[in-house]
Amino acid sequence: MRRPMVINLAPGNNRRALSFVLIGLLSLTVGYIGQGFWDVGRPTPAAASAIVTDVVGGAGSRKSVRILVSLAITNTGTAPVQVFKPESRGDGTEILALTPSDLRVDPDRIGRVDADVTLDCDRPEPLQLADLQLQLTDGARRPLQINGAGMVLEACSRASTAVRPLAATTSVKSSADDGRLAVRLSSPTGRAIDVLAVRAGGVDLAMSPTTVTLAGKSSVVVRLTAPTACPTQWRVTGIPSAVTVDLRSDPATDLRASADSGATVRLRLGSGLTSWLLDRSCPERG
Amino acid sequence: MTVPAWDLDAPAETPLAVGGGGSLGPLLAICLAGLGVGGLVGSALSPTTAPSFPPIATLSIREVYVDASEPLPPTSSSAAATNTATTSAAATNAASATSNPTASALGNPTASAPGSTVGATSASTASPTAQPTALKGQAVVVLRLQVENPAAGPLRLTALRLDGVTSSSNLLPLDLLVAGHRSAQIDLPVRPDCSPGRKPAAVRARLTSLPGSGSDGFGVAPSRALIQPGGLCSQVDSQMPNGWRTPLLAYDARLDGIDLEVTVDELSEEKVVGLLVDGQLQPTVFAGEELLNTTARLERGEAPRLRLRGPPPCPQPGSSAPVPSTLRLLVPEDGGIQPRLVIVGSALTQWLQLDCGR
Repeated sequence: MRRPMVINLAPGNNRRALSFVLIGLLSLTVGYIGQGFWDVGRPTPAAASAIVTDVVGGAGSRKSVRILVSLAITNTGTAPVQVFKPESRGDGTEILALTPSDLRVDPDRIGRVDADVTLDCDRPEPLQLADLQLQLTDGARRPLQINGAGMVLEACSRASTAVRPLAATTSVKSSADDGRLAVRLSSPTGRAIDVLAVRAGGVDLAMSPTTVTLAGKSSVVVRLTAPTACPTQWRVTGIPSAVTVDLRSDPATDLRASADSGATVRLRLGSGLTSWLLDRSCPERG
Repeated sequence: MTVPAWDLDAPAETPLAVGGGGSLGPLLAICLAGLGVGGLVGSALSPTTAPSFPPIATLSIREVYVDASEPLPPTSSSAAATNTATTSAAATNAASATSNPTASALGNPTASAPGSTVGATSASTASPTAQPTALKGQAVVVLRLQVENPAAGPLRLTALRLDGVTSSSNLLPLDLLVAGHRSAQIDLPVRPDCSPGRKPAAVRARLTSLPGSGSDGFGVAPSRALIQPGGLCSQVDSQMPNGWRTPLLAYDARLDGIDLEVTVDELSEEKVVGLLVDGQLQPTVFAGEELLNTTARLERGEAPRLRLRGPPPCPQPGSSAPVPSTLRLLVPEDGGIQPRLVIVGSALTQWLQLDCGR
């Protein structure tokens, strides 16, 4: 029978043990660096975005208005994320609470949350909602920008006249000469506003000049051209007494996408608009 | 028990030897353990990867109106409109926009553009013999698609898939370029299927984009109104006057002093519901929410004439609602009393405006 194996622990082998330790340390280092280099074992980065879908409220006489802003949060990543309210105020805005307060959005889902917001409508600078907090699976929190926040201006358009983003007056006399309706536009708060389009009852009215920029409290006269025939849009709904205006708060200095988005506000022009449209587009030929 | 004797002269087995020459097993084990532990430590200590922010879009209702330019098919019952709804062809042509919001992105590429051909004519201008008096009302909803691109690179969108507008899914081709860090808007008119038999459905939408454009496609977040259980048609019902599915067209409408005389061919004298006062019929007629002071002249063999007595009520002073161009009559139908919408046209609007300036 063969003699069993005997481990040789002679003092002369200390050098070998040291070399094994060094090899182990080297492997440890390679593993550490390699993990960072090849992202081994690291979770796929979260991919989430937020956008304003609805703005409710704003009517009243106070300069600071309370509104409900509905937000949609999409998660196109592979791990769930959670959304919390911002830690700070935005520019002229403050998110007081979210409902639900800790929204969890699973991968490939759209989550919805309502934000209770106060707006300083009288502020001459663009309004901007503060970033939400996005909590990742490891508990880390990152800022999540709210896109489409320009829509909050729609709430200010329902507030008192002095803090609305846009005001208008019509002059029937000035419209008589060339058939166009002269509308004087102004920005009561002095906030810089681009007027992009004007519609009546869903029908675009050609503007002259084609784009209007309001800066400060000076007003600009815009001449509107009526449709050449009575549009089918008005046949059942009636002849408009108000126009809807697409506008945008000045985005020139801000590259954030949300600053680029606009709002649509309604301006009541009253019987002056209705009479003009009846005369130019829908004359009664009885 | 017999214990086997060891052969003390035999050579020893190769030791597993710490560092014994010949075997790579222990060396490999140490390397792998080192790599694994190193990776674990690295994973635990390295900072979390920052999240990315993909493009996002929302869909909302911009306008709602009724297209009543087609006659009601003769086979259809007047009470049950059959709205065979399709996605508007205009929508497919409409979707050409760039990320420049001041130009084409916000321009409405639909029939609402100024100077576009429109089908409506004033009731009083229409030839009575050529105009059908019963019409098919088709709901048209103009949806606004807003896309935000938080990424640095441009995003080109090629199609929008819409569910819940009609009974089947609709694919609207797009050609929408959204520059990096910018947004774009486009308006899409659709004709929802609001036929009575259709089960209401919430609207869902998904965008597809060019491969390599930063995203292959992503879901669109509809506004609250679009995800209501009643779907698009409940929005149309809430914004349009009752009876929009099967409106009647007034045969004639003319101003007579401060009165407006409206002839409604479709209604016979048996069908108008109202009150008899001193032997004279007082039909129940609404313009918007206003009950009008009305009398009717009903003569056998002639179309009934409604005389709307002036001075007319100025419709909702201070309101931004449109001034009505339609009346609602109450008529007996299906064993009960139903409102019927009558399109009168600009003659009615002018009449309602008569007293507003005073």
